[in-house]
Amino acid sequence: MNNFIQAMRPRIKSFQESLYLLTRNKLSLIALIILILLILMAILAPVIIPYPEDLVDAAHTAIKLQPPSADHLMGTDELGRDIFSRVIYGARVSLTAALAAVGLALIIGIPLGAVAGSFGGWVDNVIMRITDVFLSFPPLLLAIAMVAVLGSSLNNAILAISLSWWPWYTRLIRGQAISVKERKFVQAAETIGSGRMKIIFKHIIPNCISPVIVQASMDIGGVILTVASLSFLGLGAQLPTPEWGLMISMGRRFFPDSWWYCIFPGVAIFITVLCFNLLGDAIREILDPKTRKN
Amino acid sequence: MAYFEIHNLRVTHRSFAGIKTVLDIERLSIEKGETYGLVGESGQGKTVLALTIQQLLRCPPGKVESGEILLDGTDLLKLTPKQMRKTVRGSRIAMIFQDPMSCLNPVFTVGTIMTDVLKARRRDLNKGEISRRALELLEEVKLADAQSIMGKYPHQLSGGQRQRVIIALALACGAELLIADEPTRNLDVTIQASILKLLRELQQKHGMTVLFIANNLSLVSAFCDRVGILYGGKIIEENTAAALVEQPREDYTKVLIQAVRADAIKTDPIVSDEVLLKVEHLKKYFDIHDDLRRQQHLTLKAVDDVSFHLKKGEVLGIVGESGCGKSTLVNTILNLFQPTEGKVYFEGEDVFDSARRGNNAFKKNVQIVFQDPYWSLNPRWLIKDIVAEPIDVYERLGETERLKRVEELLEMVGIPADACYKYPHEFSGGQRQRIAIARSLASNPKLVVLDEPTSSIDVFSQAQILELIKDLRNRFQLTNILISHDLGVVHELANQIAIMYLGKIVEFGPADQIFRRPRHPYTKALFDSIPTLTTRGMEDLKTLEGQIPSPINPPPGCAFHQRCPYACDRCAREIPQPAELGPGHMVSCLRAAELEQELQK
Repeated sequence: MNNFIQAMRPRIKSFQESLYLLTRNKLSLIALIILILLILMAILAPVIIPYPEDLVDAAHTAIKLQPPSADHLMGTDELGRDIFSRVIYGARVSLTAALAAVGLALIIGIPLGAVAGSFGGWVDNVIMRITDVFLSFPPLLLAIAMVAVLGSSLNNAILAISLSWWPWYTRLIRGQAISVKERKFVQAAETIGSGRMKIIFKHIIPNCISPVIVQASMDIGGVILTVASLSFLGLGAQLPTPEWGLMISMGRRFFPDSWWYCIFPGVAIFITVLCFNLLGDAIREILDPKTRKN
Repeated sequence: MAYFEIHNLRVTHRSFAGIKTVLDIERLSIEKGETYGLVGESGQGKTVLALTIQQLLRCPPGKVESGEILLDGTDLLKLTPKQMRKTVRGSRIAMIFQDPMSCLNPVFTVGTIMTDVLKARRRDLNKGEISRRALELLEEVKLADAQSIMGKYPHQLSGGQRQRVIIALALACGAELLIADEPTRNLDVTIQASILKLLRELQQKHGMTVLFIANNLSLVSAFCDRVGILYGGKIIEENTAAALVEQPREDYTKVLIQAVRADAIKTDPIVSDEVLLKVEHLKKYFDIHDDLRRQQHLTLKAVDDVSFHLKKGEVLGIVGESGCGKSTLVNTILNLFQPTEGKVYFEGEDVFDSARRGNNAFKKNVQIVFQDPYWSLNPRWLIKDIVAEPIDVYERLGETERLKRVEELLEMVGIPADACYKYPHEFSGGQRQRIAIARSLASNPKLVVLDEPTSSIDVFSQAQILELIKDLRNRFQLTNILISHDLGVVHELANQIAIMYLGKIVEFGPADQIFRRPRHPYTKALFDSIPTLTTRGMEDLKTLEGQIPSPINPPPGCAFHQRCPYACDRCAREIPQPAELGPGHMVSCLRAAELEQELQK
């Protein structure tokens, strides 16, 4: 127990320093607060939304397409469902989809990149040529093609996105690994006699992970957009899932008369993506002292 | 009033940890034409001062709190950045940085860099005059073949040549005050001597005032008229060079003097007759493929036919200029590089052969401590895991036992046990080197290779690290190979010395003999080019002319003959073979016997 407390001390110290760097920049602090609220909202969604039954195929045709009011803060859709409830629940769908897609891409991309970078030679060649093939298609088109093959569903959309996204992380990690493996502590581990895989996973990966974390946190915004785009095209989440992209797609028919139907899910996407990008900048500032502004 | 004066200068640095005073100088004055040396270890504010004078300090996090810097009566701190740029920096003050490798823009040729500076400063000259002037300047800094150097890129030049180009740039603007911030760091001793001589010559010719910053007291006291000691941002002692060395007042100054004084008292290690390491005709050639020019079969002979043996308990010091192959030799012995030819026996067993059979006993028995403790420890690991890395490879220990062993090892090298749960960045260079030493001992090795163990840590810790190495060696009867360009360190630790030149060992023998009576002209030249505390002025310093020849295309005959002051016609034709001139004292020189008297002068 005592050991554990000692082990945590340096981590607490670096956490404090990170917090200091994060809060120093007002913009990133605001982004962080909004994101924390969004995540809380996503977790607590089933409890806080006013009309839980509106998440599914409820139909209250009497109150369809009503503008925002005290009862329905963001108005209602063509089936009379509360848009506010659906936008809040949408945070849950979009955030989990984005985290899952980026996480899966990282799980595929990091080990491949690290192995390619540290082994070099034909291993590197094989891995990098495969990534080149993936990189030669626009990610959205590739994802659309994959969903078309796999069938339209939110899970397939997540899978397709991560399959078109991992090569970016592989490239990034490989470049880092090539420079990290020349560092003396890797040589030291070799003279000590540590195994090759141990060197890759314990020495090389932890030292080239920072830029990937930064890239990934910026990418979350992009992936949310991609999930929304796929859903908008009918290739992602299916009705009646309250997904932001899907809601915009549905509301398009009633625009601009019932502007609230499209605008509020759009604003939700806009804020979330913006906040993740700002947070990515802040994380870069913490992880990479060279980019710090004074 | 003196030419250059600083009054009550206070500079602070602001960070997460709070505000820290990094520079607090009450008074510093330099007369015109004087050479003033500022000595201090890393982190004492030397570079901050150099940057503050030129308004190059990054503010924030730095901040000039108070004070004035007077150059010929003008307060530099009161000038606007524009005035500073137009009238002072680069025209009245020039600076030579410590790293000639990185301060020339790699995408421009030397000629372009030179003419650019001249164009900005000398608007009265036309194009032809500018390039003529650039050529003149390069000739003035004694660059042989200045015309071809004008067309070369920085990476095509050696460290010494680059530093000369930088000096030429400083001259280009006709600077009155030259700030030299460790101008010879990372340069070989022989090049260091020639750069210092050049600086002195130019200073006298142009009547420049020089502020010379370095961490090596013997270097500064040899070069400068007056010396100040910088400690914790304050000048704690100031005197003429001779007086400071002879009668230091502050304890810190005494430590600095002690650090550079070659220690005469040394304990000889216990040497047994058992041969631990035997190297036979080891060669390591690198193939150079130049596909573009279709020049095949170029070989770089990094290690060329090296043989020696090392008895248990001996300490072998390998000395030579950079590029002589000393690191390649050790890496090949350690089996990090595939050898081209030759054999290495460790305790009678063929190392390369047993490695092929997958036997890692050699790796367990031979450990290495690297030069730079900032890079040799994984920054993401806790100290306990770093030190335990060899333990994890060779023995399986439970968590408590493992921790106990790590604490024992840390205690041996003088690091408190609570370091276990810290990261490398929380320690100073000296402490990190101790941690690296603890790690190297974790697998109970028999041979520990020390690759420049003190060259990247400050002088204050250097002496302590040397003590520690000696102490551990006696306790564990370790055998050591020590690579160093610092002859003081070698003198203190080694009892066998190998002098390398261009992939070959030119002189090998007992340390006492080699230090007292070097028998190879190269060894002699190496010894003479190092300033000591008794060196006064540059006249005492001997320099070795010329560059190290390329190992891809070594000169015929004796590789050293082009730079050797004693070379004769035979040296250009015949390759000298090692000859035994005393018990265990091998010298590869054709004229070794004739030169015996000559070299003792």
